[in-house]
Amino acid sequence: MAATESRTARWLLIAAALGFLGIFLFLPLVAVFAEALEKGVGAYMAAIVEPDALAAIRLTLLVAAISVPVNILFGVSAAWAITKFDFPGKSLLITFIDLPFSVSPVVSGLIFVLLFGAHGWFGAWFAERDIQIIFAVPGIVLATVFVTFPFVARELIPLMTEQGRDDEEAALSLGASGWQTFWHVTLPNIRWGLLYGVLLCNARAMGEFGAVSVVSGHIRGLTNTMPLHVEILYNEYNFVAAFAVASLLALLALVTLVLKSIVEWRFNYHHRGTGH
Amino acid sequence: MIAAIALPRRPLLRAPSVIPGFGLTFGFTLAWLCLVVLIPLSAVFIRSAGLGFQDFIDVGFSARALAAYRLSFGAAFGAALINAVFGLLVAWVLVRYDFAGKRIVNALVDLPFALPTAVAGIALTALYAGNGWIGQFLEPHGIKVAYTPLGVVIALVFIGLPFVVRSVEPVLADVGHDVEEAAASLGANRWQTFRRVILPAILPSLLTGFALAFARGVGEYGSVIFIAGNMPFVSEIAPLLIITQLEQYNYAGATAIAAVMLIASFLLLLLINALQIWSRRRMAS
Amino acid sequence: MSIRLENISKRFGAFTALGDVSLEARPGEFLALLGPSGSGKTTLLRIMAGLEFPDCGRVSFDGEDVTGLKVADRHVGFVFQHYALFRHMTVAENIAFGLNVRRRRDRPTRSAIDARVQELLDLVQLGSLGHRYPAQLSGGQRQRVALARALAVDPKLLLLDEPFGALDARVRKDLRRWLRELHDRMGLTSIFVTHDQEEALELADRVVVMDHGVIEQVATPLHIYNEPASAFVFDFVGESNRVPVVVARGKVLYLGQPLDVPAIGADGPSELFFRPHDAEIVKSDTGAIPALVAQVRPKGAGVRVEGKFIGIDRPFEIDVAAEDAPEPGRIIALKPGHPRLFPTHTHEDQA
Repeated sequence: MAATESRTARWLLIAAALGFLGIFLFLPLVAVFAEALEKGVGAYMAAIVEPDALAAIRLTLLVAAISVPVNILFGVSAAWAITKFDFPGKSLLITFIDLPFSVSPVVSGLIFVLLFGAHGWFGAWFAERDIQIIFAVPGIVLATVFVTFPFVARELIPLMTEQGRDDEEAALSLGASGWQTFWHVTLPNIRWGLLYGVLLCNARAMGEFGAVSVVSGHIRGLTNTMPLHVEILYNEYNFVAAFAVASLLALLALVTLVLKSIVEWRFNYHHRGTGH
Repeated sequence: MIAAIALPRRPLLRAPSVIPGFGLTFGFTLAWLCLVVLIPLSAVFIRSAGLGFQDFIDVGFSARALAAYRLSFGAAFGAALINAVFGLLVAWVLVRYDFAGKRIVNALVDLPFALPTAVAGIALTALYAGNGWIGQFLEPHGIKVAYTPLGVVIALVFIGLPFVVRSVEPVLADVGHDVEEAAASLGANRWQTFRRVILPAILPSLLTGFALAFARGVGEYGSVIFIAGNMPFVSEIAPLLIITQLEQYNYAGATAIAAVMLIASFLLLLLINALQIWSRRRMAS
Repeated sequence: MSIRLENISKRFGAFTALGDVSLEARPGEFLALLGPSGSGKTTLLRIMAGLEFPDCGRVSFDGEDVTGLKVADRHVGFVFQHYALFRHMTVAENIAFGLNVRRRRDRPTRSAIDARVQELLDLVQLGSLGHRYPAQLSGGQRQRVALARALAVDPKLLLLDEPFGALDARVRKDLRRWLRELHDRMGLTSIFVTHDQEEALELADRVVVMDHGVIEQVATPLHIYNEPASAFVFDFVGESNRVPVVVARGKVLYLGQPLDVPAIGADGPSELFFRPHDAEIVKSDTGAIPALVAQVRPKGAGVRVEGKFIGIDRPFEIDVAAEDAPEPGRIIALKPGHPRLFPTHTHEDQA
């Protein structure tokens, strides 16, 4: 082709890009596993099966198991309202849904302390009833729901906008009810986009650090999620254990990337937009 | 004119539609949005307003807070600049060239979206510490990365890269080869074609990516605190200062700084929205 | 089934999609809604289906008011412009959809549904393709699946939105004839939307010509073509030449000179329309329109002559026998046959 770079230029550009990615992305990933296995597989396994680590894993799974379905419900509902109907103020609503992405994780945690903490608006009310939210699991779940709030909705909104309303109208014209239309027509149409959103939502839910750090209280074995457990181990100079638990999270990230790529290649799903 | 007889009641808020479920989904969406996002966020502003103007300025813009803002915004800006250059390069290579392992590289670009920030933080610290894989080569030359502001920039480069790549990629793919061939046929050399034809076309998306990376960097916490050193006035980022205030039960201080950060985020969000509208308009024409 | 629309109006924000439209389709009739984009034809079709609701007016089927009924309760067959086939379902599953979503007590048995699907597949000549997915079909095949799916619920009224819009010319022609036969065989009332006048004239029993949200004319294809009711209809249906004239004292004046045509119409500035095949090249230039020939091309048995009217900057095209073809560059005198006069700005007055 006439309009392209010379072989040398092309080779140099590829080398520069790969070099940059290698140093900034690949090396940190390798470092996690290398540090985790520095003292051998035995030390690695010991760090993972240690009771506090197991408790952290359990809590992380629990938090994800609550916040991901909640966000699926919200995301599908929001996308349905926004893409299947016309109403004024729609773009403002979309901006509001995106808000949590632009809020610092620390601030995301702080707002729940301001609401439910000992000196918070509702703190006294809950304290009287002996319900603890901040420095307990409910606070962690709330903060996680907040930071992962936009993931599913913002994946579905452009997808469903593009798909239009013809399929739903066709199903209704054939006599289907609203629920039948949703289950048999809309859901199959959006399944890969939904899965994509869920993958990213889940990765963030399991990996969130800043927001959860503010509300958790860091009580070992009780309110420590995996990322918080990593921090504690690291600050205690227990590097092998810190990196061992971190390696599990890195594996989660790799699995997320692989599944995400499969959705993109195998099912030809085109992710739209940026900004997580 | 015959009056409408059994017309369905015209909905108040929206254009009528045969598709059911507006009330349910819109109601739920709005209620949940208020409950989880809007009311909690408003708490920051209402509590800040309770401080009074002078107190707000005193805690929100204390010398230590100003130093923290300077670091957060400065490092985020520097990292976003680096990402604009290298993100464009990566996007270019991914869109234009074929090479072995391209799919893996493409997937790897999203690693910062998927990898928990704390994991990235400790991994980067391990790499850039004096005895780390990279640090050991830099230290003899007097370049200290870990526990300095430079470390903050490195962490934010890691976090921000995919924003630029994923913003630029689709637009770059959309700039047809035919346009470049047209430029070449008119006698432009490769650099002229890039500078005068391609760069103007992708500029809005590049700026969008830059702004997204910058906005993320300003608020970033997890990946930064391990590598930053966290020295007040030197390597303490604004989000960390909020946590420090909280740990000292200084709610007023934490809230005021959070309010400043939130206002900055909202302004950035407005900017990003404007950039995206500009970018879409460019793409459509 | 008969369908009756009375005084239908519909606005989208500041845009008037339909302004006080009334229309009736007789049982078994094949009706075409013809108009340019933005004329309101699709909106009217969607209002008949119950996919859209009018701001005011009344829709009735067989005398029964259905204005407030939603699409699911109207039992009409609707074929979407881009077919709206369910991509994740096979052809057979698509066709069976309308039966499968019925409540249990109204739903036919599995074997009855299968039999009905096969019957419809045979009807649309896709007998062996039931297991395929829409993506594996050609455009024409998808169109027929969409039709079979709409017919599966035994509608009495079939509504089609630009049914041939997305197909290439040859497939379009075959499908047109086939659809007409199907309509006659099934005894349906069918209404379709099109922007292609040839399609409307060839297929429909009656044609409804629409523009800017109002009906310009409703008539048989022959009547529409030969007796257009307005300048818009003349221009939109079939090819036309138009020249500005003034009607005064029983004469038609073109640039101040009387033309040799009957002055049927009100006095004042008007537009004179005539069809390319109705024009004649005459020897004497009194009472005729002078024109400059630019090109002569073969067309059918004769030739098409193109050029510009002299004195006004407007193109003309006429069809004449090959032996009468003038040389390009020559000035000729044109005598319009079957001319029609419409007062200028008719259209703006109505809108």
